[in-house]
Amino acid sequence: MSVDVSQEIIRAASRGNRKSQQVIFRACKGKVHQLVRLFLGPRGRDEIEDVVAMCYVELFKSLRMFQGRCSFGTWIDRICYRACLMHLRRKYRRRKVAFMPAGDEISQSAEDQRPDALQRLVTQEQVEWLYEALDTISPERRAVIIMHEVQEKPIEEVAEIVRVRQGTVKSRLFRAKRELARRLNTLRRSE
Amino acid sequence: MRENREEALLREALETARARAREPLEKLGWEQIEDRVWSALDDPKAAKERPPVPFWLGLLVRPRLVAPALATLCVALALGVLLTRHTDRKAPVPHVRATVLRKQGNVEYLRGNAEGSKWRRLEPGRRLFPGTRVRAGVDAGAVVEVAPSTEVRLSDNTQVELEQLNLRRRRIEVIEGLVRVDVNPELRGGDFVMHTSNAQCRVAGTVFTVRFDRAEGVPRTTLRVIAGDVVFICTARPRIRRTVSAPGVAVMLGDSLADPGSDDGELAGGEVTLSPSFRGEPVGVHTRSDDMPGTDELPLRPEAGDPPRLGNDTLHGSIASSTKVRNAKEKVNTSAGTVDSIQPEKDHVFLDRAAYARKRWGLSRKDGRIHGAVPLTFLRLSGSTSEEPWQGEELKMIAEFVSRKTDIHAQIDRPSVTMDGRYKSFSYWLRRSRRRGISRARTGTDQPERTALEKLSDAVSLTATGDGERFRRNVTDLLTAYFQQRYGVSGLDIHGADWAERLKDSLKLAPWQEQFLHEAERSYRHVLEPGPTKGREVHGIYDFLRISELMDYPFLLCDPPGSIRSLSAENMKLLRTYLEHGGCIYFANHAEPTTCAAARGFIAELIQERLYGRGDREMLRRYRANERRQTGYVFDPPTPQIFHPWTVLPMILPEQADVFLSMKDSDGNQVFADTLVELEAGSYVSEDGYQWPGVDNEGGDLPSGFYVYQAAAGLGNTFHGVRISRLRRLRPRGHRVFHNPFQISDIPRGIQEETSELTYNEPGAYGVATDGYLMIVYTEGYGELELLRSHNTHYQGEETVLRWTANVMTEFLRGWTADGEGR
Repeated sequence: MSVDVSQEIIRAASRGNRKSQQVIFRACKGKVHQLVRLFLGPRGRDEIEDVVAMCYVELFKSLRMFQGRCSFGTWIDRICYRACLMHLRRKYRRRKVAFMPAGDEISQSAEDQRPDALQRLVTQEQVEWLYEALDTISPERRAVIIMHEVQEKPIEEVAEIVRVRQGTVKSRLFRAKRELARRLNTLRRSE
Repeated sequence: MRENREEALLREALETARARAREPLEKLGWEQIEDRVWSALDDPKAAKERPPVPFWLGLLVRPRLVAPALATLCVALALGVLLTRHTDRKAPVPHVRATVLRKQGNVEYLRGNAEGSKWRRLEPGRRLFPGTRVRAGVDAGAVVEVAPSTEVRLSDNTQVELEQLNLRRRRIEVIEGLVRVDVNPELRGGDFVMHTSNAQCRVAGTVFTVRFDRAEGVPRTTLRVIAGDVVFICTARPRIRRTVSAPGVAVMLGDSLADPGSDDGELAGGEVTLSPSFRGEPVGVHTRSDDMPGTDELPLRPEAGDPPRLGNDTLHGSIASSTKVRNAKEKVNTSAGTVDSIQPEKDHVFLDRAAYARKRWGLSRKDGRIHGAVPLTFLRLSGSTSEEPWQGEELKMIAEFVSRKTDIHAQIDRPSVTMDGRYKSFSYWLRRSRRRGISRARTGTDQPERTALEKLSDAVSLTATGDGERFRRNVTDLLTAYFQQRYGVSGLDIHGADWAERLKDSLKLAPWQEQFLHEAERSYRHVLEPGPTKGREVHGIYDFLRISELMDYPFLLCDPPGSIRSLSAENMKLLRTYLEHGGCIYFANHAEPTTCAAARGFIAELIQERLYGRGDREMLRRYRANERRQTGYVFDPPTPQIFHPWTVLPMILPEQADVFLSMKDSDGNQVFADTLVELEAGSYVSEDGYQWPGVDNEGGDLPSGFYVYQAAAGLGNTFHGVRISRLRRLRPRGHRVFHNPFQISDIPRGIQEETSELTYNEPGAYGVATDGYLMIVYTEGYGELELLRSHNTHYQGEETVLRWTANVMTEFLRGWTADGEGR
C-alpha cells in the first residue's frame, strides 16, 4: 500500500499548512488503519481509533524531521510502528497471563446458518488464538512477526522501519516464532 | 514430532492472519479522528515543545518511582549500619578465601594456570583465592586457614592446590608431599575434601594427615587419622596391596570395582593407619587372612559388629576391613543362589529368574529331559517390601498351560512347581502362558493388545516346532493381509528390499507410522533369514501391529492384563507414542490394590521424565550412587503418587541422626518443614517409612506444581525436584475426551478453573494431566464389581473381570457424559 504524496505537499504540511496536512491525512488513511489493525488485532478493536489518531498526531508533529532518505511510505510505517509500540508496551506491562473468555463471535448463533459459517468461525478462532499468543510475547517481537510474516515485508524493509540491523530482525523473528508456536500449542491443548 | 505439530499450528495461524489482512478494512469514524488530530495539533500545550527533562529530575517527579527509591535507600542505610557495627566488633574470617597464618622457609604461591605464571613469595597474612597453588620448599612449611579454625599445615617439599573454596564445599588437592589438616567440628553439614589423583577423603571434625607421593611412578596416598572419623574413598585402581589393620575407618571402593576388569584384583585403596589416640568407637574388625576369602563370608545382611551399612546396594562398598575381594559387585554367592546383578536403584535384589531356573534345571538335565523340583525362593533384602515374584495365580496358570499344551506334567507344590518333561526355560513358559491367557479370555472384548496378539499367535506358535519355512510363510501372509486390510494396499510385494519405502511414498503416513513401519521391515528381514526360528524375530512386527491397533482407540483400557502390564522398554515406547498423539489411558480403581501398579508406575515414569528429561536420568542415577558411596546417607526423590494423598520420602541412614526435611515451592518459599530428631539408623524406604501427606505446615493441600525437596542429615544433604500432580475431577459433561469425533461446539468458552478439591475415594471420574493436557482418566467409586455381578458373565478370572469392568465403565462414561446422566 504505497502513499502517493509530492515533496511540496510534505514540505508545506511540515510548515503547518492545514490543507496539505489534510491531503496527507486522506492519502495515508488506508495504510495507517491497516497497520494499526494488524498490530492491535481483534482484541484491540475498540482502541483502533485512539491509536490511529495518535499515529496522525505523531506523524504531523514529526513531519519536519522527514529528510527523504527513505520513502515516505516507509517513514509512515516507522511512525505508526513507534506509536503502536508505545501503546502495546503500556498494555504489555499491564498484561495478565490468564485465559480470557473468547468473544461472542465464537458462539454460533442460531440465525447464522450460512454454509461457510463454520469455516468463518474456525478462521476467526485461529486469528483469536494467534493474537492471544501474540499478547504474551514482547511488543518488539510482535511487531517483527506482523510486518514480516503477516504483511510480508522483506527483512530489509522491516530493519529499516524498526531501525535495527537485519541480523537483529532475523533473531527476533526466530525467537518470536518459536515462542509463538509453543504458546499456540499450549492454547490449542488447553482448549 | 512435537516441533512439527507446533510449526504446523503456527503456519496455519499465520496463513489465516495473512488472509484476514487482505480482507477489506472496517469503517472507522474518520471525521471524529480528523477532528481529534487537528484539535491536538492546534492545542497550544501540544504545539509548544516541552524542554527535555533531565533524567534525575524525571526520577523525582514520577510518583511511581519515589516509593521504591526511598525503600532502596532505607535498606541500603540499614545494611550500612549493620555492616559497620559488625566490622567494629570483629572482622570475620572469609569463608571463601584462605589466609596464610604462618610460614617458615621458602614458601611460594601461584595463582591460576601454571603455564605463563610465576611463582611468588608467600607472606603471612596473604589471602589466597580458589585455584591458587602453594608449595613449600626444603625445610619449609606453612599454615593456611581455609575456614574458621580449620587449618591446613604444609610440610616441606609439599604442593597443594586450593580448588573450590566456597561456603558449602572446601576442597584441596594434594599434588605432592605431606599435609596435616585440623578440621573444625562445626563444619558438619558442609564438606571438607582432601583430594589426590587416586583417592579422596571426606571428613568432619577430624585431625588427619595426607601424604601423596608419586616418586616411584605409582601414585600412592597415605592417610593417617589422628582423631575423629574419616571416610576414605579410592577413586583410582592402583595396585597397592595393603592390609587395613585398625578399626574405626570405613574404606569404600570408588569406581574401580565397577570395572569388570577388576575381577581378581586386590582391594583398591591405600594405607590407612590409626594412631593409638583414636577417639572414635571401633566399628568392627574382620581379621581374615590374606588368602582369598570364601565368598560366603560376605554376608548380605549386617551382622553384629559389622560397620553400619551404607545402603542396600553397597555390598561392594561396605566392606570394612577385607583384604581381597573377588569382584564383589558382580557376583555374590549366597545360600539361596547367585545374585548375578545388583540393581542400585531398587530397594530389593531379585534373583535373575531365567538364570536361576537354567542353573537349577541344568543340573539334572539328561538327554533333553529333566526330573526335579524348582524351589521358588527368592532373595529379599532387609527393608524391602517387594512382593513375591511368583504369585499363586501365576503358578496355577503356568502349570495349567504347561500341562495342556505339552506332555510335561506340572504340579504345584507351593512354594515350588515340579515339572517332568522336555526342558524349556521357566521364563519361556511364563511368557507363553501369559500371552495365551490374555488371548483366550478376550472373547467379546475389543482390546487392541488381543487383536495384535491373535494375528501373530498362529505364526509365532510355530517357533516351538522349528518349522522355519511355514513360520516365514505365515508371517508373510499375515503382513500382506494386514497391509491390504488396513491401508488398502493390494499386491504389495514385501520380499523386496524397499517395500517400506514404497509404502511410505504411496501413502500419507504419520511420523509414528513411519517409525514403526521401519521397525517392522527390519524385523521382517530377520524373519526371512534361513535357519531355525526363535520367535524373537517378530518383535518389531508385533510392536507395529500393537501400535497400529492402539492408535485406533481414543481410550486405552489399562487394566492389568492390558498393554502396560510391565514397564518394559517396548511398552513404554508404545504408550509414549500413543499418548503423544492424543491417546488417553483409562483405568478404574478396584478392590485389589496391586493390580494397577504397572499403570501407576508408568505414569510415575512419565512424570519423572517430564521432571528430569530422559537423558539426564542416567546422570542423576550416577550422581545419587556417588553421593551414596561418599556419605552413606541416601535420600531418594519421592516417587510421584497421584492416586494417593501421601507419598513416602525414602531415606537410608547409616547412623542415628537428626533428619531435616523441607519443601520449597518454585518461588523459593518454604512451604513445609519437619525435623526427625535422633532417628535410628536404618532403611526407611517402604510404606512404613516417613509418609508425607502432600500438605504444607498448616495442613492444607499443596497445589499441583513443581517443588524442591531438601533432606539433610549428618554428611548427607540432598536436593530433588518434585512434581506434585493432583487428580482433578472431570466435569460431568462436555469434556472432549468423551467425544469422538471432536466437535467445534466442544471448545470451551473460556477456561474454568476446576473447583473441585482433591477428594480421594469419592465417586467420580478423575483426570491426570502431566503435560498441560489430560491424558489419564481414572474412575473411582462406581462399584464396578456390583455392576459386573448385575450382568451375567461367565468369565471367572480376575483379569477378565477387570477388563470387562473397564469396558463397561467406558460405555457407562460415554453415556453419562453425552446425556448428562448415568445409564
